[in-house]
Amino acid sequence: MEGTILAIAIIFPFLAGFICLGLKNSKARATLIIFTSIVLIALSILFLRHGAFHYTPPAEWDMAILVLDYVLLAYFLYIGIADFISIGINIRNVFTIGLVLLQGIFLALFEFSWAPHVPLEVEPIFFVDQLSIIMCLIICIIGSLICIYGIKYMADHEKHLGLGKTKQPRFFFYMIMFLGAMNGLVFANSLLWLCFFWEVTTLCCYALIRHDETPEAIGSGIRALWMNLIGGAGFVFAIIYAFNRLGTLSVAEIIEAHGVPLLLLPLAFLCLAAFTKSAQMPFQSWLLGAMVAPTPVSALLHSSTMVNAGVYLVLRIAPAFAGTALSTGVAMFGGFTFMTTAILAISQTEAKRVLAYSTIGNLGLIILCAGVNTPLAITAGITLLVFHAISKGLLFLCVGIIDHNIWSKNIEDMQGLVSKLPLITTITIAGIISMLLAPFGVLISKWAAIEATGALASYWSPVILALLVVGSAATTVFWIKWLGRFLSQVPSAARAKMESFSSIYHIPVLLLIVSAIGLSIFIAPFYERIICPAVGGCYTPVVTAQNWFFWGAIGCFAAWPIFAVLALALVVPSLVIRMRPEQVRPAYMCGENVEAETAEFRSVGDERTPLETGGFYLSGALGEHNLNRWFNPTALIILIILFALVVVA
Amino acid sequence: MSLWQIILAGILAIVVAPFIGGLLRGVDRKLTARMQGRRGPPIQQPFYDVLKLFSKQTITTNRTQLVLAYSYLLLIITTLVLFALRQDLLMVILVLGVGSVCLVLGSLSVRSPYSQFGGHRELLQLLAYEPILILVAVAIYLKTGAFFIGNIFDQGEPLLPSLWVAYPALLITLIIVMRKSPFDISASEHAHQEIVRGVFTEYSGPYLGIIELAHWYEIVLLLSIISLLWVPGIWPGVLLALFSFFVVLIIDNITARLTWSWMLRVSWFGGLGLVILNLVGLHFFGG
Amino acid sequence: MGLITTSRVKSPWLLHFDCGSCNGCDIEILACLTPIYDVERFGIINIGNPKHADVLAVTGPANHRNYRVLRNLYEQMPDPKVVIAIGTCACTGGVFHNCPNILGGVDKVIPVDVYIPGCAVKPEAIIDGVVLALGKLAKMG
Repeated sequence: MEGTILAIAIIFPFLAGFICLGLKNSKARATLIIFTSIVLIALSILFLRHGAFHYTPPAEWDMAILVLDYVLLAYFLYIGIADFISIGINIRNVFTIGLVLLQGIFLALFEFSWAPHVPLEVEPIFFVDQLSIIMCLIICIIGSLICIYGIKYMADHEKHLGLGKTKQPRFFFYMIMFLGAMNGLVFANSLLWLCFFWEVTTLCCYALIRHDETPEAIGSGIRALWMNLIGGAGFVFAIIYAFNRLGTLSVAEIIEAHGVPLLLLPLAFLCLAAFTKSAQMPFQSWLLGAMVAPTPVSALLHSSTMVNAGVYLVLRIAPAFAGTALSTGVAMFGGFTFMTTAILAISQTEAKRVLAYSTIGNLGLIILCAGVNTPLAITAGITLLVFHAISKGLLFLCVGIIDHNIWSKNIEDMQGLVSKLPLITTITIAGIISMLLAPFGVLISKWAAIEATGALASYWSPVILALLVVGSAATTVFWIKWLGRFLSQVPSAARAKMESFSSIYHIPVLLLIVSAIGLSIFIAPFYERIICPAVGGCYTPVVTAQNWFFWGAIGCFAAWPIFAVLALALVVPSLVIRMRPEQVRPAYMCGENVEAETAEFRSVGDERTPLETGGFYLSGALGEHNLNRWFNPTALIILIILFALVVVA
Repeated sequence: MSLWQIILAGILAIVVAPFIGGLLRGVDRKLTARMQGRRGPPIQQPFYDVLKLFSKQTITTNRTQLVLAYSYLLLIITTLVLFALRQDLLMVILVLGVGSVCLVLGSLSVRSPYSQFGGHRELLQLLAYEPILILVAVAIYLKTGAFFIGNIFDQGEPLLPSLWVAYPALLITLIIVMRKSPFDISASEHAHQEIVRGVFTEYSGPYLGIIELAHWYEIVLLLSIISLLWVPGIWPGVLLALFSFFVVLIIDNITARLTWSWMLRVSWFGGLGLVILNLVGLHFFGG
Repeated sequence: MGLITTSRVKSPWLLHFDCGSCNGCDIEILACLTPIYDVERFGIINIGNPKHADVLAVTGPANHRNYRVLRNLYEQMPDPKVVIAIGTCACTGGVFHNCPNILGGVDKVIPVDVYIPGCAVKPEAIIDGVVLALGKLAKMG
């Protein structure tokens, strides 16, 4: 039974993807996608009820994975060579070809000459525990909602582009196959299998980013490819060193070998792979470039699922490097990314880039939690993982809907949108609030992370704390700036009329926002049933949930009373307060207003001039071109110091 | 805490605090006038101001403003109540952030040049002082082993001798929250009119009164956080808070308003730097 | 007087608008804020925003360009409010009352409650006028 559900979780999406590739009829495709979604959601809930187990499929699968791995590498090599042929020698194809060759040669050396037999067997291949089940829930539920949303989104997208021949079969092939690869990734215990699924997600990422096939998309796709291949190379080196030092490729055994000297090097390489997959500094440019892809891709791969694979890996191997210099280094690296991306997001005017920077920042925060490596910090990390996936996926979907209504992703064009598109704007505002304000889940995780870092008994904790709090304050600035832009209306007493309701667009986002709010209100029972067993795998849980408050060891967050206050403070006034038309006055423009209901004033020669208000972007002081030349080298230096610490210590 | 203590804490926070805040504002204006060689208004002037505001006609530009003014007031009162109920200090500071955000959103919700300026500058003020407050809470934790205000209160010895390096940072925070020179960049005090009234421009009448009330609660909250630095007993802490208040008044009268980049530089490199130094010291010398 | 009326009288916030004045009266108004006259001891604050103001103090005559601004500012002030016309030009147009570009005194545009003649008005007269206006404000209820 266990083998069956694993097989369905991993293989069924691959099959569904291949069938989708051949389906020309859009209704048939939609039915297949909805059917796959239902199967995956049911499956993930089944995993939750079943609990932890491990499983090893028959030995033929090892050989199959080995072969497929090389097929994949060969395809990557082909991509690199094709790019070289089309545009000549360039950093991107040099890196692609070089990294593929590096990976391929060392992997082949390892598997065929250094390993005792071909293929190398690891027991067990699949290890399902609470952390993987949480990831599976995120992948299946949020991923399915995004795929369903994608049905209408891609139809509108292609109509807007005026495409003659539809590319949707190929699009959904990669999207659904990706879900299967992610399931395989989170359940895999053998490093070889993990590496294979890791590379499949790289493939899907590359293919989906370049979907629109503009020169910009193709460039971004290849950049994502070679940066992720750095991670792949790191994986191969981690495999070689782990086998060399420990004689095993099982992740569970590596975690239990805590304390073995020279174990840190393979762990550092695995962290490198995670950092590239999660687009941490200085590798953030691939995620920013990936924003040219259609919004479902950004929502699925680049906020809730694929980039989570990196932080999932770090969280999983965190018990192995607890208390070492590597741990502090990882925390410092995560904190640095969190602070720098928060500051960089302030100067962005494009909504998707703001969301991308915020994603990278929050992933950096999760890595910081993994680096701090105390039970409270790991609890904070896992909680943040779940809540961030929900809220960020939601926000990307909302930006997609807004984009398809006003045909612009620029924040400046979203001014006063609450009166034109009240439903989606309210949902987006709720999504932003859930990412930022107390007492929602993301903020409770941040609170726990601050307390955990404060309690860390290390001389570096003040520096890590400083990075954390400055980053946290900077996130307030860019989110509220954007939120304010939505709310900025022309003086009027009129109530906005709701826009037309589209079930495929609005139901996924409504489900996501309801779950974000619901899980935050009920965070205490949610923590007890679902997150506590995940922490309890390798640490003694310190968080308890008396009275449905969130009790850390040293502090307590009273979640639901503050929700009650928030309801009283926000919801009740907005239902109760009435405004009469005679109470409307114009905004103050030194007395030169034209009329109350427009935003115009009389300027030179008594000419009616529209008032144009813009946001603060501070691009002179905080722009990318200014800051990146300091931030990128510093991040690289921290990474090098990390490795140096591991080699020397 | 017993039921009577909870009710007493609630009454203190909800009913008594605005009177204290109003009187402090009155003393502020009186002392400022005396420092400028004038006589100044009576100490109860802020109460006259707020009562007059509540008696004016309600006019507004949109409904969102009105809703968010109430939200701001209710959230700040909540923060003070949580403080009085001796809850987690870090949680109190984070909920204070929610209240401040409501004020910013209220001003950003109007398409008015001064309001937009004020709202964005208020965000920059938040960026400047929130890191300092959070790190001070962690410093207090390192010294006392507790984030709970109840446990901090029960400490036997005063915290200021170990946290004196971080104290100037708290003064900077107080300057920003009390909206005094040189960091009153979002809603210029004393009717400096280059941004009219910044954040408060589009508010009027009863809603301006609500915001003024919320400002009183906020001042009392910040002073209460400062008073935690000298805890055995209440009165030494209160004296410390009043002393800080007086120092802020003096600084207000001898400086002119600076720009946002100066404010960020002073708060981050000066204020935050001092608190980090204090934290490092606490790690090295025990605490 | 009730508490509300006392508060209104004890806390009048003043918006000062120069309609076209030569600035003579404006300088005298600002002199009232200085330590010698110190009107802040009566609770008067010079506020720059009509939405916060109770008292509108206007100097200078109304003309074809600024009557719109004057009416706009008057309408943005919430009730109860009083208007003080300071200086002869604001009362009747003064020496300019027959000029082609002048409409006349401020009362051609908005209702005025207190007229303070003078060219330029003495600060003591301004304070007297404000006290008269406060009396009217108290009766407005």
